Amino acid sequence: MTDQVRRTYSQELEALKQSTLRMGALAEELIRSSVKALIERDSALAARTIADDEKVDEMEAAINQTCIRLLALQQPMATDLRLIASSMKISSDIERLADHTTKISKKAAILSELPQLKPYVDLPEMAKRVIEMFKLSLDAFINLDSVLALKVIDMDDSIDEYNHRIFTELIELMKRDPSCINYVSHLMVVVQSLERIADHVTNICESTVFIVEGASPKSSWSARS
Amino acid sequence: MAKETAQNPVEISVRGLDLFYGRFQALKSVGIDILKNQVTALIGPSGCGKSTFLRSLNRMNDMIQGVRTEGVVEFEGRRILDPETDVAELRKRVGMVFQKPNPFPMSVYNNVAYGPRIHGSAGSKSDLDGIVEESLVAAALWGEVKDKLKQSALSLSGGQQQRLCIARLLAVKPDVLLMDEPCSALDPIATLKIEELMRDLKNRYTIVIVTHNMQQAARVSDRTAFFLNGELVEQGDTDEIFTRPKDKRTEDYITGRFG
Repeated sequence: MTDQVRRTYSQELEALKQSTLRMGALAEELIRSSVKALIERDSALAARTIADDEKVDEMEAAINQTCIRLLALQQPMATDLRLIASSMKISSDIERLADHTTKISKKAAILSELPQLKPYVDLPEMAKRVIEMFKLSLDAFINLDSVLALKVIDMDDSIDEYNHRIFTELIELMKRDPSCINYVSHLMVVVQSLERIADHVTNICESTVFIVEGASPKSSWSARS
Repeated sequence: MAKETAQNPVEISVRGLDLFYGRFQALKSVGIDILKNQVTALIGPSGCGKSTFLRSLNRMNDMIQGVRTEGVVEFEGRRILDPETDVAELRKRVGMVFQKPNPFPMSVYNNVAYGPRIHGSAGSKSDLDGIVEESLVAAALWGEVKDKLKQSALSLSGGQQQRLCIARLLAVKPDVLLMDEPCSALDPIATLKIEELMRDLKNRYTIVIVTHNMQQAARVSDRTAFFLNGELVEQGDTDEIFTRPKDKRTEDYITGRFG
């Protein structure tokens, strides 16, 4: 069997995967720079990160347009159909996780104006872990590796642990010193955003499993429910 | 194998069907259950055996010299490959629509009345009128031809001619309709009309369709069977076959990557 019969179509599908990967790479950069803006109290970097989110939105629109065109003109079936339908979903997840980087950047700008409460310890670790998950989820998608995708889904538990630990610590801080409530409440949004980004990464992995296996690990997403 | 239900019991059961054209084996141990009141689509590349298989369901292959068939095809519990089968009666119950519309060179009315007349199934002229109207209504053609029943069938458009052929088939009260690429000679609108008709007809008949148009198979059928080199590679619910086929060969064929 060869791809020669539908060479152009196969190339278009490959190009769709590459576009999704490029969109992911840009979003990954936004996570990195939003967290960097927070830790280094760099409001200029925060502003640039917020502005760059627009590029991610444009990429999502372009991917959706490609998918709709392929659906209309190529009548995809089986794995191709699952790839195209899932690419629309994955690009939507990437777009939404990029929105969270805007939220983090806005908080970074606000917090850069306030005196720092204490050095960040767990938060950079949590962000590193989220970025690692996201990178692996894109690897799993581009290589259609459902085993890796399932491993990444399991990694989400550690993000929930970070989330719980940091929240507990922040609540303790507020109890001890109510004057820091304003600072901490902004920080809580950052932690929550990182946690939500990891949820979108989990969704991306579920989409990859669906492309490969024809069934999602979450039965609600699958037609085979 | 298809799972029969109270609503859709097995209409035709095929087991270990081998068919040879001389020394060439065109069907290799095919097994499938065709369920009542469902549309079963047979797909596969040219020469895969799907039309041969369709024709074996009402023994149309008997007309080809040198054909030898082994295995079991059961229709209503009777083994239709047995020599004592009344083939004329079988073809009345299991009728066929062909690729190109083939109306007889006679009036619209006489085309539909032809079967009931030769089978003597209409008692009177008014009975016959009733059968003709009922068949044309069922074939979604009555509205277009009711005022030109005496016109030559050859004056109708291709799509109308094909629906006339379906009406002609329905007039002899079949149970199963075999359709061998019934839309391949029709334009897209005429094709959609036939597809819509199939959806209506399956409430009363069992339909087996051979089609090269996979979108058509996906649109009209409940079950799909994929043939390759005389083998039935995979069969299943149509939405399963077209979204997550199990066999790599089915996947390659339906995604158009068949070299």
